[in-house]
Formats: sequence, C-alpha cells, structure tokens
Amino acid sequence: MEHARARSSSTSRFVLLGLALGLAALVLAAGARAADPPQGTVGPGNETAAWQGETYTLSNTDGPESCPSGDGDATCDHYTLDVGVAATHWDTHDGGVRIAIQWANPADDFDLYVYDSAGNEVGRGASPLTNGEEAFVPEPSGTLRVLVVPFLVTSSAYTGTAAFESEAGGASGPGPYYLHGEPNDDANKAPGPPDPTATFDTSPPTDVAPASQGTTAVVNEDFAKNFLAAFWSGSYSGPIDGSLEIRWWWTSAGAAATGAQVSVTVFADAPADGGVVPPEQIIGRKLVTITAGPTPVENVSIVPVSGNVDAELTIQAASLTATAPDIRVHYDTAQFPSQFLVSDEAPPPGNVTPPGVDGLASAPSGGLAFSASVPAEHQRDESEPLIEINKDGHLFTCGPTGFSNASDYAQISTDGGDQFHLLGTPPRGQQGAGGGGDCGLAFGTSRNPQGFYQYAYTGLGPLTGFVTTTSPNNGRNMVTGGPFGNGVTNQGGGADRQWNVFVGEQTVLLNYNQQAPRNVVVQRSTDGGLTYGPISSVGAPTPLFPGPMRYDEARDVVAFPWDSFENHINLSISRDRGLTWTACQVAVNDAPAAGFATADFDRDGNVYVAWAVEGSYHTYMSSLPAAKVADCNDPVRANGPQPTTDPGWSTPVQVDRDDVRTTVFPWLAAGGAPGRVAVTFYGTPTEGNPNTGAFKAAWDVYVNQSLNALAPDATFSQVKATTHPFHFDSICLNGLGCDLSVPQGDRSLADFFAIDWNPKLDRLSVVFNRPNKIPDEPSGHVANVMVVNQIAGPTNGGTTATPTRAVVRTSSTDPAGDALSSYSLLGPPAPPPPTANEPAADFLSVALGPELDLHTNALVPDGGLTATLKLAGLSNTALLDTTTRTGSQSLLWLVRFTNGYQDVAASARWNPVEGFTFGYNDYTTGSAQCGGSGEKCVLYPGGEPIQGHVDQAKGVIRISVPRYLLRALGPPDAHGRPTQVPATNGSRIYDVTAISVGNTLSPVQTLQSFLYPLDNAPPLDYLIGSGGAGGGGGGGGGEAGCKVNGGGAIAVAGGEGRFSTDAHADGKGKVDYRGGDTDFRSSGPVRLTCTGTSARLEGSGFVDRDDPVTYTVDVTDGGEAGRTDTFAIRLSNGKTAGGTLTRGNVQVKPR
Amino acid sequence: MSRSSLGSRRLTRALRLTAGALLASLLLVAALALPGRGAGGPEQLSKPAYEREVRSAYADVQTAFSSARPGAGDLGPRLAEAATTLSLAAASLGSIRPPGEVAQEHARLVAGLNAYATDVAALRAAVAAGDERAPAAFNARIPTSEPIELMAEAAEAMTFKGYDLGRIAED
Repeated sequence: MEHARARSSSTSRFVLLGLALGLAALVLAAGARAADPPQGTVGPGNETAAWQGETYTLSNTDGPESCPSGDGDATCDHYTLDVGVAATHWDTHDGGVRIAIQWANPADDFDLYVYDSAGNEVGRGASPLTNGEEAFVPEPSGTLRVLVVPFLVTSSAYTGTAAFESEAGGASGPGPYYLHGEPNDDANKAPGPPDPTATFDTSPPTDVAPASQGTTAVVNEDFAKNFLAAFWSGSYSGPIDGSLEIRWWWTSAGAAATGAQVSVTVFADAPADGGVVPPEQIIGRKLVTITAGPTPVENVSIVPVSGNVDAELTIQAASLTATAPDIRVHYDTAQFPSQFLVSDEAPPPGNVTPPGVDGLASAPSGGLAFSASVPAEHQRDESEPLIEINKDGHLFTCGPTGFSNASDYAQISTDGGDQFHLLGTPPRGQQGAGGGGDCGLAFGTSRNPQGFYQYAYTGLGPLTGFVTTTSPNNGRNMVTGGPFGNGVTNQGGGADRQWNVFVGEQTVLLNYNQQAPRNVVVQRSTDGGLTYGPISSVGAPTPLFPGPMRYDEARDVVAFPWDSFENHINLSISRDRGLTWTACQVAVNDAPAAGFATADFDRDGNVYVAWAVEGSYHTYMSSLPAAKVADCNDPVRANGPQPTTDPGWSTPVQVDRDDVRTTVFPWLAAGGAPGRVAVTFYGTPTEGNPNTGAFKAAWDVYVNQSLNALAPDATFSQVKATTHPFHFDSICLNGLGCDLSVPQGDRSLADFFAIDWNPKLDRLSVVFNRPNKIPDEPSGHVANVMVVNQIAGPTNGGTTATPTRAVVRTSSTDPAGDALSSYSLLGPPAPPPPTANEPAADFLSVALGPELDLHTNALVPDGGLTATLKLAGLSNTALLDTTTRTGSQSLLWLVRFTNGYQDVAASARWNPVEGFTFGYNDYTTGSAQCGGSGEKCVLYPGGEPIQGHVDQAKGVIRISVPRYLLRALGPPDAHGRPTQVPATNGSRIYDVTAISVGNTLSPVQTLQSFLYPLDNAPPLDYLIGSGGAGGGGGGGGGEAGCKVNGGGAIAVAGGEGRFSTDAHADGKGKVDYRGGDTDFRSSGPVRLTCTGTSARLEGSGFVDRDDPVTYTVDVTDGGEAGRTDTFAIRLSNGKTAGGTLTRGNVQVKPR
Repeated sequence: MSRSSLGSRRLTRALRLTAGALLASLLLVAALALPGRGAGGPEQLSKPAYEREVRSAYADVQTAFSSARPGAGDLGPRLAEAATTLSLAAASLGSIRPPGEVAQEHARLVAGLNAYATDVAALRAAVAAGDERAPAAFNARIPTSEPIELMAEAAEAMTFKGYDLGRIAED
C-alpha cells in the first residue's frame, strides 16, 4: 500500500502534484523564506500584529518535520511572536492569542503550527479545502514561534495575523488557594471568642511548623464552622459551577487510618459565628475517603460545587465515624501546603468519578499483562475459587458448589495454565464424598517417594467436619478419608473456613474457624492430609475470620492473617510448625474487612498482608521485614486477649489506584524477590455501596503489582487482568442480608478469589469466577472458574516476562498428547489410572477467520466467523475408541466464547448413528447435577443449527457462526457498563476456547449432565473479520513483532479527527490525535500488538498537554487505497473516537 | 461456608435483643414451638419435612424481595408484599412443630422473620411518605440488623446440627 502523505484526498491534486514535481527542476525557489516582518509583539495595549507571508510556487511539504529550522529555510515560513504578559496575568484574566493565516485560493493549502519557547506545539491549524487556518493559544506568555507549512501550494502567498484576547475575570480565580492558620487553630474554632483563625488565600505558605486541625464525629453536617470539624474560610466572590480539587495532608494518631470517611461540605457566605445554614448556602458536599498515617499522607479529594458566593467561602471536613482514629489535616508549610483549586469541570456523571482523583496514581506497569481467560472448569459452579501452585509449576484450582450439593471440585494444569484436567473420577470428578462449603489445597515441601509433591485437599461439610483427600501423584490417584474423614470438632462446636499448608513432605497443618468457643484452631496430619490428629493448638483468639496459612520454609515460620471483631488486622505466626502460636497487630481499620486478609512471604522471609475495608472499599497492603517477624510475639490462647504489639509493620499503603473506587476480595502473592508482590482484587470505577442491587457497575479483575513493597512509600502499578468486565452491579458481602436488601444484593461471587505465583515459571496466575451476569439482573448465574496467566511484564521472581503470544490473535496451537481420559481416579492408591490420550479429542490447533459458506467455501460478505479445529485424528476408529474409553455416547468439540455479555458455544457433535452435527447455543444453564433446569451448571445443547464441515482424513472440523448470532460490547452507559450491540467488522469476542468433551448420558445434546473433559486449547480474543478466511487452518499465535505507521482523518461529530502514528514492536513510537474537544499526544513507550492486518497500540500520554491519560488505539490496514483502513482511540478519561478513514492510510507490517 | 454468612454476625458477642417487640415475638413463638405444647398441637415434623418447610417458606420470601426493587414498578406495594410474605412465612413456620433438637433455633428463626417483617413494613411506610432515601438507609443498616442476625444465627446453628435448609443457611 502506498504510504500516502497524510492529507492528499483529491485526484486532481495528485495530478497537479505530478505536474508540479515534473516541473520542479524548472522552478526557482523564491529565495530565503521570511515573513515580513519576521517578528511581532502582542499584549495589553498592543492587541494585534500582522505579517505578510512568503510566496510559494509548486510547493509540497509533508509537515513541520520537513521544515529546516530558522533562518534560511526555503521550505517553510517562520514568524516570531512575543506575548507581552507574564504568566501570572492569566491568574486574573481569561483569554489567549489567536493566530490566523489566510490566502486566496482554497485549492492551495497552507498549514499553521505554533510552538512555545520550549519547542512544544501549542497550537495548530491544518485543514484541507479552505483558504485560511487559525490556532488559538490559551493563556500564553513569552515567545511563540509560528511556522507556516506550504502543504500543497501551486502559487500563492499568505497573510498572517495575531490577536491578543484578554478579559478580566469577573470572579475570583481558580487558585490554588492555600490553607493557612495558627498552631492554635483547633482551639480557636471552639464556640465563643477568640474567632477561628484558619483561612485560605492564594499566597503559598512560608511557615516552618504546620498548623493542624482535627475532626471528630459530627452530628449535623449542615452546621457551618462546626467546632467538631476542621474548617477554613476565605475571601471569594462569584459563581462556582464545577468542583473543588483539594490536595491535603492527613495524619492519624497511633495506628494508621485506612479508608476513613470524611464528609466535605462547602458553604457560601456562612455566618461569622457559624450555625446551621439554609440549603442554598450549602453549595457542595461529598463523602471522600482519606488515607492517614503516623506521618502526613497526601490525599486528593474532588468535591462537586455549584452556587454563588458573595464574599466568603468555607470548606469544612467532618469525620462521620466516631470510631475513626484521631485524624488531622496538616497545612500552612512548604512541606504540607494543603490547598485547593476551583475548577469549572463539571462533576462526573452519576456515581462514576474521573480517573486520577480522590485516589493515588499508579506506577508504570512495565508491560504487566495477562492472557485471555481460560475456563479451569467450564460447567460447574465453584464460587470462592482457590488457586495454589506447587514447586513443579502445576496449577491446582478448586471451589465449592455449596454443601447442599455436597460438592467441591478441583482441577490441575500441568502446562502452566493453558489447560486444566478435572480431579476425581470423571465425568463428575469429586475428590471425596461430601464437602461443598469451602475447599482447601496444599502441597508437600519436598518430593515424595514417587517423585511428586504430595497433594492434600479438605472440603468443609455442613459445618460439622471436613472431607479429606490426599494424592501422591498430582491428583491421578486420590485417596479420601470420607465425608467426615476429619471429625474435627473434638473441642467445642462447629467448624468453618479452613486452610491447609504443608510444613514437610507429608506433614500438613489444617486451621479452621471453630465456632464455639470461637478460635482459630490448628490440627496436624502426618500422612499427607488423609487424617488429622486432635486439635494441637489455638492459632488466633476470637477472630472474625482467618486468612490462608503460608510457610516460610527457609526460616521454618508459618503465618496466617486474621481480622477481629474490633476491625483489626492481625498476624499469627508459629515457629514450631503449628504447635504454638504468637500474634501481632498489623493495622486498625474503621470498618470490617471486605473479604479475607491474605498474607505471603517473599524468598527472604519478609511478610506482606493485604486486606480491603468496607465503607471505603479500598484495598491496603502492609509489610514486615523478616528481621522483625520474630517480634510478632504476643501470646495466643483460646479466647485470650487480642494482640496489641506492632513489631514494625509499614504504614498501610492503598493498593488500588487511578480511577478504581470500589474494591473487594483482595488476595496477595509474593514468594519471589524481596519487595515484589502482586495484589488482585475485584475493582470498579463506580463508587458506593456494592452490597445492594442499587449499585450499578462494571467489574474487572485487577492485578496491582509493587516492585518496592518494603519501602515506606511503596508504589503499585495497576492493570486489568480481564479483557472485558467479568461481572456487573452488586457484589454483596452481607450474607443473608443480601437476600433481604431492597433491592437484593448479589451473592453469586461469594467471598473471595485468588492469585498465586508460579515458582517454576516465574509467572502470576489468577483464578476468578465469571457468573455471566447481564447488567441489571439481580444476580449472577453459574460461577464458572476462570484463570488468567501472566504473559508479560515484571515478575515476582525479579525478572521480566516476554510475551510469546498476543491476547488478540487469530489462532492457537495446542500440544499433541494432552487429551487425557481417566486422568484422575478417586479410590485406592494404586495402580495408577488407565490414562490415555484421545486423538479424536486432541486439539493441535484452532484458527479463526472471516466466515466461509462451508457448502461453497466462498467468503460470506459481512459474515461472522469460521473456526477451524485441527485434531490429532478423527477416524471412525479414533472416535469409537474415545467413546469407549470415556463411556460416552457422543462426543463434542466446543468453541466457547464470550459473545457480548455472556458465554456461548458453537459445537460439533458426533455419535455413531448420526455422525457429525453442528449447533450453536446462547448461555444455557442446568441444575447442580448438571441437567434439567437450574443455575448450577453450564450446558451446551447447541439447539440452533449452524454450518459445519468435517474432513475426517485430515482431522479438521470447521464450524461457521453467522454474523447475526454475534454480539459485541458497545459504548458504556451512564454507569460505566458497556452496552451490548450487534457485532460488526472489528468487534471483539473474548476468551475463545476450544474444548473437547464426551457426553456420557446421551447420544444427543438435549440430554446432558457432567461432560467428560478431555482437552482445551489456549484461549484468545478475536476481532471479527481478522485472520485468513475460514481461519486458514493455520496455527501459531499473534505476530510477535510488527510496525504500524500512517496518518489521516476520521469523521467525528462536528468535523474530523486527525491522527498520526508510528509505532514499533520494540516500544518506540508515538500516537497523536486531535478531534472534537480532544487533543491527545502519547508519551513513553508504546505497547504494540499486531494480529494480521490489525494492531493495537497501548500506553500513556497527555490530553491538552498536561492531563495524563492512558490510551488504547486499534487500527486495521484494509488495503492499498487506505479507504477501508480504520482507526479507533479510547482514552482513560472516557473519550472515544473511531471509524473508517476519510483520508490518509494506515500500514500494519510484519517486522 | 462462606465468609459473609458468618461475617454478618457482627453482633455475635454483643447481641442486644432489647427491642420489646422482638423479644415478645421470640417468647411467643418459642412458647408455641417448643415440645409439650399440648395434645391438640401439630405433629412434630421429621428432619426432612422440617427442612422442606423452611426451604419453602424462605423461597417465598426470596421471591417477594426479588421484585421489591426500585424501577420494578411501584416500590411501595412491592414492599408491602415483601412484609406480608415475611409475616406469612413467620406464621407458617410458627404453626409447625419442629424436631426437638432444633426447637430453640426454630423459635429464633421465626422471631427474626417476624421482626424483619416489621422493619420492612416501616420501610414501606417511609417510601409511601415520599422518603426516597429510605431504601438506601435501610440497606445501610442491614449489616447490623438484629432480625437478620437472629435468622442467620438460627439457620447456622441448625446447619451445625446437620440440617440442610438451603438458601437461608447458605449465604
């Protein structure tokens, strides 16, 4: 494809240009170029300047980069403009400088660029088919450089003008306004004289010692200048319609306050002696979340305001919780210059807040990225999924279906998380009779005589005991102690939430929350977790809940965190492998934890704890150096005193960043290099109470990683680990109260999900639930177990992972020999199960492409997709052998993917009588026994016929899904939830996974139960229309290296959006976009992913030069003419634009 | 057992059942439900039969609450229906004779249903009076709601004794 100059859109222009170039040798340049005069000045009293531009003949200049700088430039024209005002002029005035050029013939085309003295572009006018350009530079000072580019000029001069526009502000300015006061501000605000002395003005503070004010619980927020609150008053006049951005420093007495709730009220013209004011004098109010520490912590709070102020503004901060620690605002020093800005930015719509406010900025992610989601279990309901990874790098996942169903299920992946095998005898796969309440997993610390790491499982029955199971060989043989293999309640009554950890090859600890008396009690097993002895110790007194146990093998320390009824986060440790325990206090919170507290060691023995707090719904992390772990030594005894000693935990650091406002269920993984931790949580930009059905939100799985978690000012990056929202609206933590809320809250995600670090592969893996909820539904459906695996970026082990395949691509390869029947058997320890590879179910590759009519092999115009599945063998013998070995009556090959909001499947089915048939079904669920009706299992009836074709000799299955069945996620609604729209070319479908299973119940798919799992291929996200037609039958992943360049325009409301890009696989490059009210430029490295002729560019940059944002740009190279190329940009500030190019072109090329 | 099913029991160590109506209801239902009520009383239910009764009564409650949401029509009548369903569930369960081993837990469950019906009726009145913020305030009190605490405690205690009561005891 021709890399056309960005804006040539007219055929006649090309002809003209050709003539021009042909005559170029005959044309004399018009001598040294110079505007006349070359320099001018504008400012107060000198409002305009003008110049005569140079005459150009047959000039064709790409852009400013083609212009030599300064004197003697024969290509472009230069003009210097001095703006005769200081920068402070604009503190009290609105306006700027308007620069314009004009010429006679619209067929000629000059472009205008304006730069400041630092060389930054501050204005631009570059439109086609006009006879003038204009650029407005807001609030400039100093020298501007004007560059005029003769983009395409046959013969023309131009004239230039500059106009200074300045209007005195009618009201007080935007600030910043600094908070001032005296050391006795707190006392001076008490009723009666002396008068309050806390004020604000535009003078930066110069004091040495900060003033401070505290706040205690306030009964009436409408009481202005309330002596129980902190407040400041100052001169201000004029209307305010926007927001106050308050930057202030907060401390707490003693332990850190994490997530303190503070109500900020803004009063207009409150009485001098305060009091309850009428509503019209309350011009702003917002509940903000404050992080405070022993030393002042900077917070940013945005408070929407709207109203008129005659003379005085008062800002008041009131704590709303009587239990909050003594929190104070510090101000009036250079070190703590608490201040606020008045912005005319409209308050964010609804309860969605913009990025970067009322929160902390994330650190660079270093390219941290995760795969598409693979179902570890695609049928069963396993809310509260746990993941643990053994030293061989094998991933184990498990989750309960509820003890009404007496079912826990578990899975293993031996290939790093691409494929999972069901544990227990298929097709149902239980690890023992019973369980269903909670599951626990753990592995031996050293290899057993069979050369594996012993595996132990416990499943909670109806609060009366645990089913226990052990396996010596990665779950292939599983031996169970029966439904009450561990009759645990030999002291007191009731058992709840248990966790396991090995402290030797066969020695396992089991702790659980004993209900009466309420203590965390600990038992030991010396036979790999099959049987446990009597309670050997109490690990924590009167807890709310214990978190999982972790073992620091090198230093022989076991630890688990727990929260208390007093909302404290504590840690218990044992240095004699669970025989005795001591404890210490990690943090004190205002409210209960929103999920379990979790902890982990790094390889040097440093400990990290993460937890979330209800009310604020933020997530926090604290660390304790290895040298201080031994000081965690308050005595622990049954129902004894709570720990009070803090051996040196770091001030809790808020983990969630940027635009995330609500988080639940954090889980922490360390294990590797000191200071490297990853914390995952369910997060959303929506702020509010997620416990009720009134909460409207789109949730993603986030992974926030710290590379300096031991530092007092630890930073966290923040990435979404899911490629699309996995849940909508409420996540309720209120147990039975969820059912009885108005409207009801959603309990379908239960109480946690998990992350672990793979010590073998040095990668992170996250297991989470995907309940397939549609926005506004009252509840999720079946909590399938999904896993995402780290594919790039910094690792917990201290290295950097390099991606081997892109998330968005058109194909996956899959190893041969991994479609295993009889992988796992529950029963006697030997012999090993008759595991066999099933060629008929053994995927070698999966490829997707534009839809083919499989009768004619013709490309379907505006079609959907065709999936091509390559299997190891589809001979009749292979098919019959697999049905025989699995006890199946039919076989299925599923292409499962997320189609808009929900998971669907296109399937090929075979039975010996009918041969192959093909079908599609939307999301379909069944009962706990995986049949009939209900919401406990996913089924694949495939009732809607679709085209399919099988070449048994080549082992190839092709399935076509027409466009009308495909859906996409569209623009967000008012709550930030994506809408669902019909799919178009370029629409993305998610988590495409090919799965092979057997149906042991029936030859037809209207009857299904638990399907016999055999193989799955690695998941991918797919852009409709990409790839070779019909999937091309190829293998491989996305292209590892490529480059993208080009530029042009797309149509946007009110005009056009112009862009240019040049990006390379090594991270170099840039993206610029201007259109509508968006002026964006990238900065820093570009993350480039190419799939065929499509590419995605991701990174960060700035809007309007100084507002940081992240961006995602998707481009497609549609061919030579460029007219079918597309460009789409999405910014983290919510701005989006996209469409087919109206001019220019884009090239996506392999490296 | 998930965290929140027990986590809602934040008043466990300081359960304050001082509300007169709640206590009176508890005592009344206990008197009706405990064994030895008299020859004219209902048959004592078997464990499976009792489990079915509780599951059925709570299913009705769930259904009523699932439609009691803003935007699903006039909230007031739906709250009235939810309150009525709670009262009916309490009356229905109050008229049966549970297995002796769970008699006390049963009494607490019925008392909780009755008391919560009163709370929902009050919410309905507030909504009818035009208090648009009432549902949010109502929901904010749920984590410390004594009636819910009472029901959850009772259901959990019966679970400890091996009873499978379905949803009311699960989460």
